[in-house]
Amino acid sequence: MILETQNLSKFFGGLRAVDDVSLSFEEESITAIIGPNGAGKTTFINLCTGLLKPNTGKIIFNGEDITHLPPHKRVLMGISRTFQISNIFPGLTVAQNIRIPLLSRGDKALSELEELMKVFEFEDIKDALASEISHGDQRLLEMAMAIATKPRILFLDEPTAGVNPAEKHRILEIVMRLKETEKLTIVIVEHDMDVVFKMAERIVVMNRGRILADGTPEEIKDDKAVREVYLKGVEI
Amino acid sequence: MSEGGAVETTVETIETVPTMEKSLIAVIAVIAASLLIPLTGNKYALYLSTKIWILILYAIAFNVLFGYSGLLSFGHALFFSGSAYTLAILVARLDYPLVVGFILGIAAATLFSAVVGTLSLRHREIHFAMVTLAFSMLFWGIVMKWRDVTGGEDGITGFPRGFSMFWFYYFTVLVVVICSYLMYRFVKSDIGLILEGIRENETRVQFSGHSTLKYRLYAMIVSGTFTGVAGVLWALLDRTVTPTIAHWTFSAIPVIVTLLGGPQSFIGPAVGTIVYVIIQDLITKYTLYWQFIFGVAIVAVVLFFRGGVVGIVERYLRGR
Ligand SMILES: Nc1ncnc2c1ncn2[C@@H]1O[C@H](COP(=O)(O)OP(=O)(O)O)[C@@H](O)[C@H]1O
Ligand SMILES: [Mg+2]
Repeated sequence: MILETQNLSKFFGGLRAVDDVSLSFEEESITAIIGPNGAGKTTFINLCTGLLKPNTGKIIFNGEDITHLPPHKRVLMGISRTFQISNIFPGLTVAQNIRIPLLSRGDKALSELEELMKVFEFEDIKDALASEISHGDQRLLEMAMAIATKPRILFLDEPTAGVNPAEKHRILEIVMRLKETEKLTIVIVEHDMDVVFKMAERIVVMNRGRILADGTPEEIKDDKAVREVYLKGVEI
Repeated sequence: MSEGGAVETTVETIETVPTMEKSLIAVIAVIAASLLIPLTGNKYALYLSTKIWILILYAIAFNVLFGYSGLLSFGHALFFSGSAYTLAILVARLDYPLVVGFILGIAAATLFSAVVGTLSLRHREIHFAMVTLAFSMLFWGIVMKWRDVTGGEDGITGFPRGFSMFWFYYFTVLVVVICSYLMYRFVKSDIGLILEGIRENETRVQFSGHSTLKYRLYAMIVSGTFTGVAGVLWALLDRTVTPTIAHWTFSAIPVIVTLLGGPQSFIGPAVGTIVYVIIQDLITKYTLYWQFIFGVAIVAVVLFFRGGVVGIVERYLRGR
């Protein structure tokens, strides 16, 4: 178990965005979190990565309680993420965008810059401003930034939102390759059910802040409750 | 850009390569020309130019924090006057050698910026500005009330300059050029890159594994320390320190000249300073309402030319 949440809750006023969620993630596994808009998927990631503080519950990483650690300390321990809305340095170049997270691991890590450029196929755009590259490349850039911190677990919040099908394919291919080469644990939020059922080893379905179902793609496919709230009309 | 992926394209990167070479040549030319000023024998011009050089250092130091880290301090007079008063007290009251006063004056600014930084950097934007303002007003209050040590409203006199006005000018140019070069290296270093990152997107810097508080503090200390260098030079120029330099209006000077010259470029604040001092000097001769006219001019530049004077010139050089 690399990361575990125990009875994690986050309330916004009266709204229970995340409601008593206990989940744990196996090392080098890939889990998809699905669920309708507003189900609490992003909030759950925000809690795990430290952007938000939970109202109740605990987060354990590698046996250590990290519930109260600020984001940058969690990153240094090996928890990294991308955001649902591209979150990069628009006014800096592609290379500078990746240099900043590399620096968190000291000057030695800078030698990895070239390799990352190759993996993400950024060689031709490395000196372009991040604001000027394609949307798909921006999504990949953010992933490269997350990888540059050398995470052990990576949260991807809708990494293919708003990109065209060709780019989507490329992004997911890179995710799968990185999972192998970097021995990553991946938690991904994704709306494309084809992709989810093909990629994920495990699927967690959220609804109104709670876990509705949790199992292998086969189990989820046959789950009645899931079909009712979420998979209605979706061909699997 | 599709929704859900909107990336703000607000701030231009600081200086592009071709304009950088041009501005380097321009900077060297201006420095070289200014070295001739003492040779003209015009005492007033000499005094005014020395003052401009010191204020340039003040403004560039301020902009390390403002332009490069996105933190608007409204209390830089504290670091400026803190170093000036430290020098004056040590030398005039306690008979320390001038060199000691000079060095400890700068050290005092370093200390003040570390303390104020630690206590204010948890705040953002207008709150940060207000906290820095509050600290500087506190210091101004002490300067006004603690008459035995600070001389109250009269300030402190009775310490040497160490140079004639002629040589003091060259000393000032040398110090300002060296300090500016060091600050340039700082903002172009990896620490500077992280600071630019903080200005662009603080959350992303945190999620890149950096304590943004730590880097803001670095910027604050560098900015405060070099402001302190300007402060001790100022004390030596007039061989007097008065509470004017501790007053909040003195904190406004680097804010104004930086907006005027352009916070996006390293030399913007320097250009703004030259324009500011010269225009102020000219307008005061002809009208009592200089502050009003000047205020209108600044509002116009800030509202219509976000890049300041340097931005206007760059656009012109690029062929409109
Ligand atoms: N910062 C916030 N303040 C108030 N309400 C929020 C905030 N963030 C999310 N919410 C609410 O919490 C619920 C869960 O949101 P979110 O985690 O973004 O869902 P998902 O990512 O599954 O679409 C939604 O009803 C949303 O409106
Ligand atoms: Mg979401």
